[in-house]
Amino acid sequence: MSLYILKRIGMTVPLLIVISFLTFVLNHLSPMEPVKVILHAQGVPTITEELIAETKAKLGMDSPLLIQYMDWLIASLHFDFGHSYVTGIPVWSMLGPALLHTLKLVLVSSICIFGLSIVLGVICAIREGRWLDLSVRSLSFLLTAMPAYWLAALLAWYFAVKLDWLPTSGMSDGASYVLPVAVLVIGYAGLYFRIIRSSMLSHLNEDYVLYERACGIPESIVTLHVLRNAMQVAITVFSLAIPTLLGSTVVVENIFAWPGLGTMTINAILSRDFPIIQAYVLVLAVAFVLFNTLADVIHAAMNPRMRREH
Amino acid sequence: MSLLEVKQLKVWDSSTEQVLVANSSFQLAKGHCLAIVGESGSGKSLTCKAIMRLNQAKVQQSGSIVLDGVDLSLLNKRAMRGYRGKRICMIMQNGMRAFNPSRPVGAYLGEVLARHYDWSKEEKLTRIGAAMTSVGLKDPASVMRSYPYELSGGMLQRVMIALSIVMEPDVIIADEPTTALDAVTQFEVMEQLAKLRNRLDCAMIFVSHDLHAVKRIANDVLVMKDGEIIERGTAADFFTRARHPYTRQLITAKQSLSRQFNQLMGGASVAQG
Ligand SMILES: Nc1ncnc2c1ncn2[C@@H]1O[C@H](COP(=O)(O)OP(=O)(O)OP(=O)(O)O)[C@@H](O)[C@H]1O
Ligand SMILES: [Mg+2]
Repeated sequence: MSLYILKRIGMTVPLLIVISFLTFVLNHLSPMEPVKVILHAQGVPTITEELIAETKAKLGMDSPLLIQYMDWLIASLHFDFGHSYVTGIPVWSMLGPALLHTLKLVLVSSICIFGLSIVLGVICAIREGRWLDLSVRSLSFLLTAMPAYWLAALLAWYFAVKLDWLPTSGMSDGASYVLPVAVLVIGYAGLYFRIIRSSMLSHLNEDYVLYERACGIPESIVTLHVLRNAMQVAITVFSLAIPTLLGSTVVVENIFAWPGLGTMTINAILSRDFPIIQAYVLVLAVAFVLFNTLADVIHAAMNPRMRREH
Repeated sequence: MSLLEVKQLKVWDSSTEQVLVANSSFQLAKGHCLAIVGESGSGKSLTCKAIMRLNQAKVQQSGSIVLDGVDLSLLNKRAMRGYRGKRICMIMQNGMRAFNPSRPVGAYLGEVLARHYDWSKEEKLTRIGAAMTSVGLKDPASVMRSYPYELSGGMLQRVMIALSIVMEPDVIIADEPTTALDAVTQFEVMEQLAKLRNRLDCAMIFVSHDLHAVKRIANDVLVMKDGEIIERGTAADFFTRARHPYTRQLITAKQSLSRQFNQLMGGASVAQG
């Protein structure tokens, strides 16, 4: 088992190198030369050839691409992603806190999403075809079909403006989590509870469930056993949901002015602040790879066959 | 006096109102074995599950199932659970699929025993170990440590038989217990089932497509077709004096098959000699 984990982690290394290289090259694919972007952003009135050459030399941009990449990679490993073109402050000092804020939002949301999905999935599976199952599924269909920005606006108008119960924006205290988390949970729980439900249903039709019942095991315990087996599929999907959530808080963060990654990145994109975009893409890609690996490891740990053979 | 009496059992699918088993009545005496035969989809498994009240929620049933003077169809859920596994044991068709894939066999058996008896851990182990040895599982400790995928279908079938030995039920329901096995294992499992019945002196419902096995183990035979019992009688009568055309067809098909088989085998041995 530990060998399997080591192997699985080993496999991520080449993947991470490819991803980081692509991220780095991204910068060079833009129609505008990076140096010009920097000079524009710094508000230099006239851009002369000498100025370009001088800046290039200063930033090490005149060395070969591969050398530049190596330098950038090594620096990135120390969380040194360079300086923002616009403000000139180190990228990490902007990215770090923003990442932390987004992570908080994602953590709270995913706990709510997974908790709600498991509860709804189990209830709907054991009440399959009854009115409870049908109404939960149609309601969730309705809610998931709503675009996030529309739902966000609706909730903000009702709970923050009309009733004045919750803040409309910012990240001041616990109450400011409610609306953004609600929007994310409504958007995602509808999807994930269905996965739990259908996974539960396929297991409930298995022979072993009939045999457990025929041996006099109470229904509550049979349900627990089935849930445990059904979770094997769901765990993989859930682990991949976390990086997806990290990437999809953009809309919610912008609507509720959450000082997170999404808000920061939109600003960076608008002002072509490449180091920030680069760092953002890298962070997300690494998150995807990490959680993917984590999903495989958890899946293996829950499966007795994998546990014994590796 | 009969031990189990099923009266006017009707099973239907409540979502389509389709009747799946119509007005089935039969009885079973202590120490007797009743075989249910019939083509695929004739309602054999539904009848078995109906006795234990284990059909899916949308499949409903009416009629009475009287075991030892108690009508099971009137029991509440909790009381019914007390009967399942203890007074009525089920032996499933496919051993490989009858056990929870993510739990060791021993953990499962322990849990089932704990439901019905308050034995100490050691007592559970010695009893189930002895039962396993008696059905030919040579190393009970390693069987109990194993996960279902680490054992063969025949071994898991024996585990189910061993569990029913410990439980000493009044009725054993074996729904095609040998269909998923190869010929040799089939023979051995049949042997164990016959031994089990003699040992516990319990009643047995035996569903099978294998008329050889039926001949070996059954006292009485029911023939089902399209959810109805079309013929019933003692096993001896069944093979000699079957009246219903369908049953005769079943038997002659079987006989001509085995004649062909014997000819083939006989021909082969002649060629060899
Ligand atoms: N849950 C269910 N809902 C609706 N119809 C069902 C259900 N289970 C079984 N049936 C139907 O009832 C009929 C009898 O099924 P049953 O499983 O009892 O057949 P069987 O005699 O055991 O056949 P086999 O020899 O193939 O095991 C079949 O036609 C089947 O389609
Ligand atoms: Mg069947």
